[in-house]
Amino acid sequence: MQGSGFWVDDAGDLVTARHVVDGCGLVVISGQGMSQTAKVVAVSNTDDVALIHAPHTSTMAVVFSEDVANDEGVPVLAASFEALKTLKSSSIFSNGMLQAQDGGTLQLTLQAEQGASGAPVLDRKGLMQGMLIRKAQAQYAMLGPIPMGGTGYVQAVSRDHIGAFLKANGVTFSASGQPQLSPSQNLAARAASLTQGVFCWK
Amino acid sequence: MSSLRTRRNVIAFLILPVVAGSAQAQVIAPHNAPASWNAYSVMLHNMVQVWLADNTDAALRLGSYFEGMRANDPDGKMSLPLEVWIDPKGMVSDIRYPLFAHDQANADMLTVLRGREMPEPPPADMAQPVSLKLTLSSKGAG
Repeated sequence: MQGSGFWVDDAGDLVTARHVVDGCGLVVISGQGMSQTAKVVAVSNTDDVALIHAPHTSTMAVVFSEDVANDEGVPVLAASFEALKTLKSSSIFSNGMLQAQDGGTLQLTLQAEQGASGAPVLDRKGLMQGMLIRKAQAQYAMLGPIPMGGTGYVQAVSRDHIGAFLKANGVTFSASGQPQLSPSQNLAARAASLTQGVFCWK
Repeated sequence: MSSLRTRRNVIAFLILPVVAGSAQAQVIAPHNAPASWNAYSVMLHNMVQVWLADNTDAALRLGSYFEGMRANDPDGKMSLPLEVWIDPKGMVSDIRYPLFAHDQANADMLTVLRGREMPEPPPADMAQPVSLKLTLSSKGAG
């Protein structure tokens, strides 16, 4: 099993989708030329979220968005660790759109490739809005026809649910409404910096 | 416990972005810097940690040197100011710090840090150098 994940502090705490690390005998975090073994610290009973711990935060932690609302129609960027290796050299600012919220679940339109589970959903400020977990279920077909170009409906856990899970497990994270990127910086490159590969060996 | 593991546990950093240039340069504290500068500085801090923990001869030798410095410090801790310049493509183009007494340690610092590539380029308007404070203490991370 291979998924994605992201650091949430500078102490080696990383969040990924629970199903990525279900039943793993060995978890390895990979990114920026460094691989580390990690330990599953906690899993959520209510959301597809897991907290794992590694010796080092190898790049940087995400900053949670504290904007008041997850507005529909907000452009977002989220992709797997593998896909971002290519995307980072592009200048794209979004590969999807935030469509709706249903409790702690976000609905997005974007292309979800293999290994994207656990990837952070970033808005154009470089702030984290949620985490990809799966392709959307049939009940969300009311959102309309699937757009062209391989894009489909994808679900994500909201930042609020991830934040509540982290607080319950004693993890302190950063939240802001300030842009984390200057106008000259590339959101895809930032996404590649933030997104780690999570490898599960059973 | 390996020397690599030990070294990871004793190196910590504090970060201060500063304006580049002369000794009269104005220091910009993190709380006055744009969020994008602070974000990039934090990433630099974490990458320096990763680079210092490399499993290379130079990094391992440097780690041992730091251990020796710390052990000889009466307070059991030591700090080293480090200024880092990043080029527009994200490569560490230069570093500056109070030179060590041993040439090999200075050569290792350059080998380990200069020429390394950050995951992404810095903000174009970011003041440089970025000032890091390497704090070597006996407090282990476990």
